[in-house]
Amino acid sequence: MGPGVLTPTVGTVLDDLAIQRARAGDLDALERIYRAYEGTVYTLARRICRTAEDAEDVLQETFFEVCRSIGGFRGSGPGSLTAWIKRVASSKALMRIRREKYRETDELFEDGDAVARRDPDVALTLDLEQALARLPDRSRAVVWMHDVEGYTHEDIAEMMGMTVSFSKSQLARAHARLKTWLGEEHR
Amino acid sequence: MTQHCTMEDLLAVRDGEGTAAARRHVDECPACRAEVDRLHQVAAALRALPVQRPPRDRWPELRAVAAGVGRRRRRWIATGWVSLAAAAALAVILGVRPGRWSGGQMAAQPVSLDSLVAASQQLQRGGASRDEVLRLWQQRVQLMNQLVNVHVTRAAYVGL
Ligand SMILES: [Zn+2]
Repeated sequence: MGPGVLTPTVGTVLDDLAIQRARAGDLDALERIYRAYEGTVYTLARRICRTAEDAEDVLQETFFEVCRSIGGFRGSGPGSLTAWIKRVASSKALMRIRREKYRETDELFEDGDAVARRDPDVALTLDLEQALARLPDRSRAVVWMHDVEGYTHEDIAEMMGMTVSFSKSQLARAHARLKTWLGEEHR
Repeated sequence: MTQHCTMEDLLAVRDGEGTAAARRHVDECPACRAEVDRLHQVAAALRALPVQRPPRDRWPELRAVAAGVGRRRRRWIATGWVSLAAAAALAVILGVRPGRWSGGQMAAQPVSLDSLVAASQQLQRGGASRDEVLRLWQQRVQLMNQLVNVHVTRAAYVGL
């Protein structure tokens, strides 16, 4: 499993014919779509959600929706299919971030930088993956959606039900924290 | 801009959206320029994190759902066309003039399934002008109304 979240080998696996067959409800074609995208969707969900269980639920919900709605999917080519599936997955993952239990702990975190107090040695000891996981949920979601998935602040604001300036400030806070936690190691 | 850029300014410059003042400062200030470079590297490192795989295969459950969706879709289409065809056939057999049981408000032309199919197909093909689409829709709605009316008629004939 190499790097390259954004470039799954979808193009080589799926063609327009497979997409057409999936639209008509062909189960083998739907499975090919699932196999081509499960890593992309699970990775996106795992980076945004706090737990692996939540990410698995997002994966399942995303493909429920894909199976239900692909009949009405009007794009052509794997590129537009990728964009559609990612959009569905992002919305499902961000829904979880918007839920109350997530928000409460987020606000606690924002209040007093609880993590830094709880664990003063955290700086310089984290690798990028750990640092990312440690960010408050909404900051982590914004970093991932913006810097990795390539969504604009306008898209993110719409999907998260927040303002554009909130999305920008979350990105800035996330990068400020990552900088501290990663120290000078990450240059 | 005499002070260093804020993190938000630096990110905006990184993403090609910075203000003119922020871009000018970054051009002239080695510290801020280094910071923008570092932010580019962080983004690249995030994108290079490994793909993760779900711990369990979810396809078997999804397959069962997908099979159910396919069955429902096919059944719905079949039921729809069978009842339309039955209604049309009955209308022909009985020589029903739709509208007789609706106070004479309906157009008194006989129901033609072919014309409904033709109107629907023309709509699906697209490419028609707005007025044309509107006319086709009106035609389709009218034909559907007439078919529904035939159902009512049939119910009355069999004493329901
Ligand atoms: Zn500066």
